[in-house]
Amino acid sequence: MKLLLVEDDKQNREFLYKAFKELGYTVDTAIDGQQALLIATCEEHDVIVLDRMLPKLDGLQVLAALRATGKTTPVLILSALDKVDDRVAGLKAGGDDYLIKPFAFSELAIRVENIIKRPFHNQPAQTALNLANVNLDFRLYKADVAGKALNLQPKEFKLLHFLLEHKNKLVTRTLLFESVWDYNFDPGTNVIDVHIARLRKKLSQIGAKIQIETIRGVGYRLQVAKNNDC
Amino acid sequence: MTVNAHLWQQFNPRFSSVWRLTLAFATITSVVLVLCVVFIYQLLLGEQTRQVERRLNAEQIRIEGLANKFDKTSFFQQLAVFRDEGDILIFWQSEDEQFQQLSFLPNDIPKLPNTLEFPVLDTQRKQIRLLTTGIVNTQHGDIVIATATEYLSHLISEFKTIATWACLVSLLLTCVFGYIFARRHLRRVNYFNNVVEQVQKGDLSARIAHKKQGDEFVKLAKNINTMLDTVEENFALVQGITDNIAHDLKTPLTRLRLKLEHQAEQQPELGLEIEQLDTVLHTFDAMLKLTRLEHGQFPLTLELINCQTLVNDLIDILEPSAQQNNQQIKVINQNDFTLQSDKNLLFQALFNLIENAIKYAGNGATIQIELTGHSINIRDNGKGVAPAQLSQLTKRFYRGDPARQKEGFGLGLAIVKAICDRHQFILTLTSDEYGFISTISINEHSHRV
Repeated sequence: MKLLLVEDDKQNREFLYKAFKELGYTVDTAIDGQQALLIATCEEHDVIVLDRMLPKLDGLQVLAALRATGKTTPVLILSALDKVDDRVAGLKAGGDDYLIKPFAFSELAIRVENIIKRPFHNQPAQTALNLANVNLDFRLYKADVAGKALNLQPKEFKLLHFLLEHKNKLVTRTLLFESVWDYNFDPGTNVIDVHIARLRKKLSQIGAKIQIETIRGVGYRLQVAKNNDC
Repeated sequence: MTVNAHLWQQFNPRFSSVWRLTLAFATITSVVLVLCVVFIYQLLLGEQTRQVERRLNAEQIRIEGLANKFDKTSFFQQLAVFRDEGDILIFWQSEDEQFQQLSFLPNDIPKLPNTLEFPVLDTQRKQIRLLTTGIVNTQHGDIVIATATEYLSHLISEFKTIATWACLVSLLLTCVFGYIFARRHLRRVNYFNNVVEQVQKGDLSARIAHKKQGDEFVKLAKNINTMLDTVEENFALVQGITDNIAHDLKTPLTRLRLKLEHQAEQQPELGLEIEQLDTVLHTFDAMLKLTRLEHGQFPLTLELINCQTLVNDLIDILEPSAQQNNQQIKVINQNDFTLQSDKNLLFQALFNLIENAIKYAGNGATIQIELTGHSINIRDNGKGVAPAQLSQLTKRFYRGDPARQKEGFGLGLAIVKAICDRHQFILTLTSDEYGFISTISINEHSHRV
């Protein structure tokens, strides 16, 4: 996977460069809008991470120029302001995404992955997810643990679904909230923690061999339980 | 507003200074006019009346002189001569002679210089005449002298009628012209008001159209426009500054956040620091958002929203938190409704209100959400808020006494208020002996779908 990273701040650029490399991406970098446009038009990328405030050419101008040349590379915009103005809001509909600074890298990674995946969604869709002894059939809206039916509220089901989709990955609170509840809003730590605690309790009561780990300040991670008695 | 009330408001001097001024001028004009009329009356007709009196008095002196000079017979002879040659009528009545050419003579004729006016039928000329009469006492008996004044009284009554009409017509004309004048000016003032209101609503580009040169209104328009230019400039400047601050501040914060997150994988205790950092960032974002909402710079993405669905989502997310406090959330759906709103903002507003109820209503409380068809009420049975604090609640960084012990920054209700204002919804916070009630209601005309 080839990624173009456009960020004018050196430290952040270097950090993100390293972090994306670690995830297995081939990363090109650009430090301003002009350079970004040049690189983006000359080479093919799977995804572009674009800072919005850039020297020489603004991030949105770069995007507009890119689209004008017919490039459809998915773009994720990093914005300092949570200015969900019409242009940025329009992006989401167009298959692109944006993220407000400062962000968690784990969230950026998942969002980048999501926008790369989108066009290839045509492949035969999965209807079930499973991890350890937990099975989730999201077409029939049923979950079971080692054959025993697991009773979940609709939102709990969505929550588990989302966590299973991103198993072994750090999932941030805002990403979780946006995906499960479909509102663009940060409800604060406690509210989500309570929901996770509930789901965790249901899972452990029925003897699921998976655990939802809370990493403070970062998010949650679903993985196979380390101890069987968990 | 009914048509009548509207009309009255247009004419009510309390509501319009220009109209008040016009009325005052009309009053002053009429007073001056009345004074003039009285003055002219005194000068012309009063003089005439006094002249009649002077003639009668002169006649009195002459008759008294004659009476002293002559004996009775020659006195009456002299009188007869006078009567024939002058335009003064003289009547007398004595034991031997009675001279009277009138059909009727009142009994209460006063002594000169007092006079009495009475109408009488002139038998010779066969017409009604108006006589001003008085009595002269002489040693030969009382003599009644009279002069015809019907032309004078006719003149006076004519004058009075004309003067009254003139006063009425001029008063009416003053009012009519005054009204036209007032309307012209009022229209200009109202135009000014409309533009200023438009600016107040957030359209900073509104300007007052005016001529290049002219009266005070043109000057006022120029000044207002200059002021608006300055405000708009400063506004753009502040906007630029906040954007830059946000950018300059967030770049290093992004570095910090990314580093901490990276290190937290190895050192889980750093999570606490990240959470603190996130709290700061959250407040910072909330302040920026609040500022932009308050200045009408936060773009709304309006869509039709079903309140029942929205409330269900809210309960879904918040019920576990309520259960932690042994609280119950109930929904009373009297009348479901749909409204035009920004989904995320409305969600946040209601989220903040319900979260507040959960935070402050206390353990075991019941939180009731009511849909009434035009409003969403959130009612708890907690301790409520002191009435004096109610109006303070929506101010930035205000924290009521019970709130100080809880986490938060006092921005929650300020944001709710800003969101409501931005949508032209009405936020009402009340507190009674049963608990605290917050209501978001829609302006029926603009939002009901």
